[in-house]
Amino acid sequence: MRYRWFLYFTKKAVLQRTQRTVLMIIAVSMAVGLLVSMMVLGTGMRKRLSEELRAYGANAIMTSSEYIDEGMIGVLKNKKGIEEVLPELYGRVCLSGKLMLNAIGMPVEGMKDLRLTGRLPSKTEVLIGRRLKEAGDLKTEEEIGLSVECGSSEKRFIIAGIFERVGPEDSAILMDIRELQEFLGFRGKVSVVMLRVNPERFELTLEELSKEFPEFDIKPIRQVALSEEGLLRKIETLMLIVTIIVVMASAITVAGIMAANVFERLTDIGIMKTLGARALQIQLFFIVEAFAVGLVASAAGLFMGLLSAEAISLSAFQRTAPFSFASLPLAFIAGILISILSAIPPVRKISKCRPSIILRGGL
Amino acid sequence: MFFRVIKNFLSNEKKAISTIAGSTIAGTALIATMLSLSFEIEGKVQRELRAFGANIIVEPQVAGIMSLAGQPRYLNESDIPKIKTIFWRHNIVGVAPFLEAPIEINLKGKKVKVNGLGTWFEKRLSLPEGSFTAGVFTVAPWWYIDGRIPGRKECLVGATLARRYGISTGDTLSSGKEVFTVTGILTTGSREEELIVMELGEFQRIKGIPGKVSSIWVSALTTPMDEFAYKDPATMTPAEYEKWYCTGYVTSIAKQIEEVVRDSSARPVWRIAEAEGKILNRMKLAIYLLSSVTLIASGMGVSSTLMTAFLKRSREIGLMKAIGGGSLKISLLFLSGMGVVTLVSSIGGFILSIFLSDFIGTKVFGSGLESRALLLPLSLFSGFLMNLAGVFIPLRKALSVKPAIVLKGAE
Repeated sequence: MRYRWFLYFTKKAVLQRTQRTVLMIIAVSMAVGLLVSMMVLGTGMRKRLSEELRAYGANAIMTSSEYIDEGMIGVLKNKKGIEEVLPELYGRVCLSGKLMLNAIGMPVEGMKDLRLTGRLPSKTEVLIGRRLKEAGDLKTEEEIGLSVECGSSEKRFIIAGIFERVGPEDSAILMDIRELQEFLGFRGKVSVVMLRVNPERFELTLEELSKEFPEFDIKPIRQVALSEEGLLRKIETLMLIVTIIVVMASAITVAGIMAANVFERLTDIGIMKTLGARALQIQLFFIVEAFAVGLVASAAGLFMGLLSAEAISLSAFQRTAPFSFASLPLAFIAGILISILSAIPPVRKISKCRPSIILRGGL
Repeated sequence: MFFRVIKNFLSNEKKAISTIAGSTIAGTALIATMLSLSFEIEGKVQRELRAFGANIIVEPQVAGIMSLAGQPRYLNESDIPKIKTIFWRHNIVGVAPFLEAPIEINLKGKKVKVNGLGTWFEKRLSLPEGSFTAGVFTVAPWWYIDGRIPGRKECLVGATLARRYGISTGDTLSSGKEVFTVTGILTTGSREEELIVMELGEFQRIKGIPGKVSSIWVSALTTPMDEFAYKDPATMTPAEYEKWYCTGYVTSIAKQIEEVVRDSSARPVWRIAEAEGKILNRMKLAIYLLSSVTLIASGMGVSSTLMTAFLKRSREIGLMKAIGGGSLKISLLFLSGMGVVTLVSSIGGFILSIFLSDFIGTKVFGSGLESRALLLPLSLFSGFLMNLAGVFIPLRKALSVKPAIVLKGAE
């Protein structure tokens, strides 16, 4: 019997005061929405950024005192945490029988990341470094003769384009790794393997690799690896602090609404008390209302938060943010907690107030 | 009369006022903090991205393909301070020269041919506008020395080289008549680990080429490359060229460096420069969008609090109407009261935001976010906007109803 009375009043309180209930729901759902949006973005941001950081190139390198067998590449590609594997072969070639130059061999798909004018080389074609071109004697589509040693028999190649990387490499000749292997007689051999390891499990992956292949020297390219980790950590901290501030600020706002809600109904409370209601009953009444508001607001906030996070992620990173199921219960817990916690301080006052004073209009 | 009502409102309605003030302070502080974060994010992330090191490399010009083989060409060390005098000098955050050349060293009786590298570790350059500390760590912060920086008659040994020949700190190496003490092992994760590294002056001395360097690395804060930046400067109109020259693109900064370093060719490190621009743009956009979402959400939150706090005053409005108050007068009365509260709490929010953004700045980026005077009017504006939005609907509603109905207690 008791609870029917209770439900009746709760229903009346919500329905007859739609305007206020809606306002409460708006305030709480804004808080929940911000929280969800921050959370989804915070976890997504790290992932997105580590994808963007790929542009900085390989962050680990595998070397050996001798040449590395090509078979390793397939093995490495299947390892967890390794995103890209790029073998390179280094050698020396003689240009036109008079100038020894460095030659780099890499798979053609690896050349796409270079800054390139011209086209990618196909068979019997090479790319030349920017400094070779600047030296003035060579141009695109020209035919050049290369030999293993100055004076030995030459093989003709066409210059397909000019590449630019950095420093000494810019005065080198670049060709498909197969071509260079054959040319130098190092079939199936590579000098180094450049690795792109997922920054999120960098240390672990490197450790596993070193344990599994002790004969190779696997080390981080500190320029990329260290800076990446530093940047990701900073962004994460930034998102965390901003989230905390946002949640705190919204909680203050919600607390204001809840307080207003209780004080506004002091007359009702006074009447209830006069009619013999105990403080606990009245308090429960407000808490249940806060709970209901929190529940509805969480659903709305979750929806809005996910929507805004997706919108931000789409426009900033051209990708949808990954939906984390953790945000589902978290949104509800946060929403209900915010609305109940902010209702507690004003509700506690209920037990202290005396009906006669309230009904007279004072407090 | 007018002021008395306002004063009464301020002193009697403490509950409502504290609600209004609390949420306004929280809302404006949040908005101002996010705004100051938005203003500063570009500069902060840009500095963070400089951890990836030099984005411009200056090398000697080449003339004729055989110049790559014969006598090596050099740049002049004395030109380096000039890099800090170009138009974009304040954007140059790091400079270091390198001189690389083969040397023969005597290793425990064995003669080995290796490459040596001379560089500045920490060098104070005195400039017309004060001084600047240059050195390898400003362009390659990932260099790690297990030991200490070498001085006169001292050197570092690259980790790979050290492992191969079993060299450790404290050993001595000789090259010709010179004897060097190894003060540390250098780890960089790159080709420097194969080298013997020492102070530039020392290396120039033993190679007999004083004042010469083979390349200069520069770390500069740059404007992300856009479509315009990729245009060939040679095909630009004078107006375009001027715009390009005076924008801090990596290419235009490189061009300006070329102009001050004799016989040089300065090139962007494309991988670094392009990745940086991309990440910077994305981060900026993400933070801007996040800030706008926060702005809207906290605005709505504060407005709805205001509405709640204001709704119950409809009874007073009814009373005022009943005793003959005009709509304009009543509105003015309420808005003035609200105005005072909003003004004070927006300023409070602004002050709070100074602490908050300083906290974020120091916690995340190691240096506080610069608080700008612009944020004060923006905080006031947002505070007033939110509160006006919150008051507008209930006020209009209260003014439109008949006094008799309101006073009877219906809404």
